Amino acid sequence: MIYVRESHAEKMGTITDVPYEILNVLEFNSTRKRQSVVCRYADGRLVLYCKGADTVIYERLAAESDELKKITREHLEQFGSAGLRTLCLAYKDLHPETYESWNEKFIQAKSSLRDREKKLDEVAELIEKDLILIGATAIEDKLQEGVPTCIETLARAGIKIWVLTGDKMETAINIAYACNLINNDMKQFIISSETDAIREVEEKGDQVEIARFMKEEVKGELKRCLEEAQHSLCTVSGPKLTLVIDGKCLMYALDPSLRVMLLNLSLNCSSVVCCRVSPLQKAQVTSLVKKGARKITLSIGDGANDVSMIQAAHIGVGISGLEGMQAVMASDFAIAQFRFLTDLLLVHGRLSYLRICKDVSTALSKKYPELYKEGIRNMFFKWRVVWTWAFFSVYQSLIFYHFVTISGTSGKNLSGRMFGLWDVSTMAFTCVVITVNLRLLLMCNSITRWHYISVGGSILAWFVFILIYSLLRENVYFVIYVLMGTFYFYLTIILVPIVALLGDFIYQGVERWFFPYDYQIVQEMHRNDPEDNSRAGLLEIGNRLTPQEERSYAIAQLPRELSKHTGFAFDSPGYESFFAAQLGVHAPQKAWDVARRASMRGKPKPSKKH
Amino acid sequence: MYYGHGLQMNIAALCSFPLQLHRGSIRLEGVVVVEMEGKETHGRHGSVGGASTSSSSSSTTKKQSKRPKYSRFSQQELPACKFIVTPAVVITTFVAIAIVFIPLGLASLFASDNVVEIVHRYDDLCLQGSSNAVQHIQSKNSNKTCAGKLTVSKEMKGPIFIYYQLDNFYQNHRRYVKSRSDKQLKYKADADDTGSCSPEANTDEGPIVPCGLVAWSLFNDTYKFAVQNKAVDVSKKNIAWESDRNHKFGSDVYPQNFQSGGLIGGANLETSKPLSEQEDLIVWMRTAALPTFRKLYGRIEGDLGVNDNLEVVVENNYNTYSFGGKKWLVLSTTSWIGGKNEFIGIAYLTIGGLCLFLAISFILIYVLRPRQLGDPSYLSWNKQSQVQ
Repeated sequence: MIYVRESHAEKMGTITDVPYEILNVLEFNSTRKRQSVVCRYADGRLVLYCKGADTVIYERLAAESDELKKITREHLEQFGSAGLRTLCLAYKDLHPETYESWNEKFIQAKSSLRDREKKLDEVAELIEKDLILIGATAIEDKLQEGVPTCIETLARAGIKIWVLTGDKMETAINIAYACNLINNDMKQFIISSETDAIREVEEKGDQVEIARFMKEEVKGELKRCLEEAQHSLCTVSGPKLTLVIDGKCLMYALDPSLRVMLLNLSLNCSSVVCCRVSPLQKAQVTSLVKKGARKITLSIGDGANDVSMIQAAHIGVGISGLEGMQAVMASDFAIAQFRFLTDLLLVHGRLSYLRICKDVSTALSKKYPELYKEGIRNMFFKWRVVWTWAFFSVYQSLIFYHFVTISGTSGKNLSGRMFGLWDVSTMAFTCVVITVNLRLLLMCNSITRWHYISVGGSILAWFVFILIYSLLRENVYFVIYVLMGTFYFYLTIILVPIVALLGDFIYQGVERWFFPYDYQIVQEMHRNDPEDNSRAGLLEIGNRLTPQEERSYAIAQLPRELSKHTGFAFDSPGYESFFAAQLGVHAPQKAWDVARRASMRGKPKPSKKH
Repeated sequence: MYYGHGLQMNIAALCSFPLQLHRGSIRLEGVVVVEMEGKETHGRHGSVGGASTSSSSSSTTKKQSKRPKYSRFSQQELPACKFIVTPAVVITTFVAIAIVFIPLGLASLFASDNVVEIVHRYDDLCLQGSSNAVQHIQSKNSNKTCAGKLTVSKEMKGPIFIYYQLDNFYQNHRRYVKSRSDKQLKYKADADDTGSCSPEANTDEGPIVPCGLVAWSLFNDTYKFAVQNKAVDVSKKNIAWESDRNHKFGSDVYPQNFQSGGLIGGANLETSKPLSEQEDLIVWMRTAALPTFRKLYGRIEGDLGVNDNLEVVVENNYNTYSFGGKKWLVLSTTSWIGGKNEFIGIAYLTIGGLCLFLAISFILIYVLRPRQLGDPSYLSWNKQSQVQ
């Protein structure tokens, strides 16, 4: 029994608590995309209330009151383009007898041991038809904090980003605008199943005909878009491309005959938005890119409907949170918020790639996401690098051997006595130990005290070892003491490591000067930065603007034209700063938003056809 | 609408128009508060960070933070010296190396030049005209004495060291190096420790002391010197390293059954002298590193004047002819750097000069083709955009 506080206009605004009895709850699931409840009024009337996505509700409406349907549809479109997430509500009166007979089937289905889900769906279908439309609702569902910045940063790092969502096309496009995946400078390819032609065919009701027609349509659209894309790519400064495709068309586009075209088109686009996709389609799209394009794919999601996608990708990331832990349990990496993805990829991902030692600090890794491209382009593990190392190691070994043996052919001190095998080899080995440790230091670009300790400690450990060992073993007995009593020893220790390292040193100096890597330039740019050890910096969203951005922001301050797509509902600083200003709080500018608004400047765009 | 279940409200929704129920007289106005539980109601299929933020949940996470304990080491924030190989560093390093190496090189070269060395090869001269060298050297009856004349080119201040130098003699061969018993050499009680010494390990009368191929192949040529018919004293004391004499060779270990087999490899040892006094053996047992090596034979304490004619009498006993080896007699003075070895001096000078040359060329290049440090226009993504 639930109580609803109602205020009736007829009763002059008095407030009463009306009891309703809930008889059945038909729960939500992703296939049905709706949920219903059967309730009994205080006066015995039985009503079924249904709430769900507009497509599924509209399919089940009774064939009357077209006026309301039309108006509601218009309203839905308005809500969608304003970026709100919409639902439709409908109801139906039930006769007690129909209800009773249905209820029996429902109870049977609910308690069945096998295929319960399917049986419940079937039973729900029986009653959820001939509904009467009430209207629509819309909510504003804000994106998580830091999502747009994160996406923009990753795009700069050379990572292509696709959005796969179950929302409507308008909503999905708005999300993409909010994340700066799409802006008005880009050329958009839209493949939608909501065109008038398709709707006509659908109204006829012939399933076979619908399928055939849709396939033809999708094929034609793909071809056209692909041609345009290729043509656009030939021109040097063509706009970036975006593809928007919805679930129904995707179903036909993933067909083996059309898949290749879809892949080619989407790889040419810098961002892809798929709307109204089912969980299975998400996994299919991911596999398409993984196997067809042979790129490394990463899927990130937070709900149970993302699990198949997470598992289909190379790397699956789950966001733990309000939706529960299914995504987390199915994933390879789990993070708490979407924005932590920048840290995961740009800092930890890059470090794992480099694996030697830190060359650019973590803060700089995130400030210059383009450095990530060095990993994507596999610049550090090419054969050239291997051969360079091999060459220098051969050079060093020649130095070690020849310098020590050639200089060992005569007596070594005033006593005129000669060195033997073990003296020469101990001399050479000491040079090797010193050279190798110093070479390590040369390789590191930021040297902490632990580096000094380990390098100095290694060399010291060698000396301690040999001083002790040469007292214990007969063949090397007293060798190091004899050596250390000659001038020759010290002259050689200075000469040989320096000559051995000279090759590497010259190579590094020349390479860094004439052919620098990007990360080396970034190091130089920030070589005088004081050590910023504040942890806050690592997880900050980064609201500071570079001079470039400040300039473009100032330009963007000129009255901006209103595009239909503003991403307003999702994460708009205008929205935020408006309320912030009301409260007297300073809301800082966001870099991605400045860029977005700058891209919108002075370009009146017609509204997109749905 | 209101509900009495106490279900949690997460999101406020805005309806922009009044709801109208067909059948009814109910007309709801104003703000409708709808129960929202994320996936239940709106069936969110969004995968782009769609988790709705609610103030209540964020405040709870702040209370029980799962952040790991902060330490500079685990967060990789240790203070570090940022060593970048900039042109300034390169040039400074080269100049520093040149400044250090050139004087050292000059000093070493000077010292080496002061050493006077006389090298005299005699194995090809001392065959007494015999055509079959191996036969000659192996026969017991042939005359192995030969005389030679050496001229002193520069004044040699004592002590003057006498070396014998061998070529193509691989004392560094693995099986040769292993063919000895250090225990036996040191301790009298371990005379039986001949395990690694074969084939020169045991005889019918007992173990060979010292056993092994190294001792067996002891060098046995002798040299006698005379200047103007006056014999020059050659001291054979103290020619081995003290550590060897005092520690490696026992003072109570005497040679036994040495060179008693059919094949004689080299010199014989006096059975009355303990091993620690057999300096020739000690010197020989310090195996050499390369196939061409010299070992200390003896020492002349006095000086040799310039243009002195040194007469040397060689007993050419040692058989290097079977393996194509060569023999030399070397007389040398020493300096603080040791014997005559120009390599160290030349190496230092070469590297010092090279570094100086590199420093100058880097300076020239820096002047002619400067690249400012940390210039962002060199970043590859900026370069590409410049090209466009």
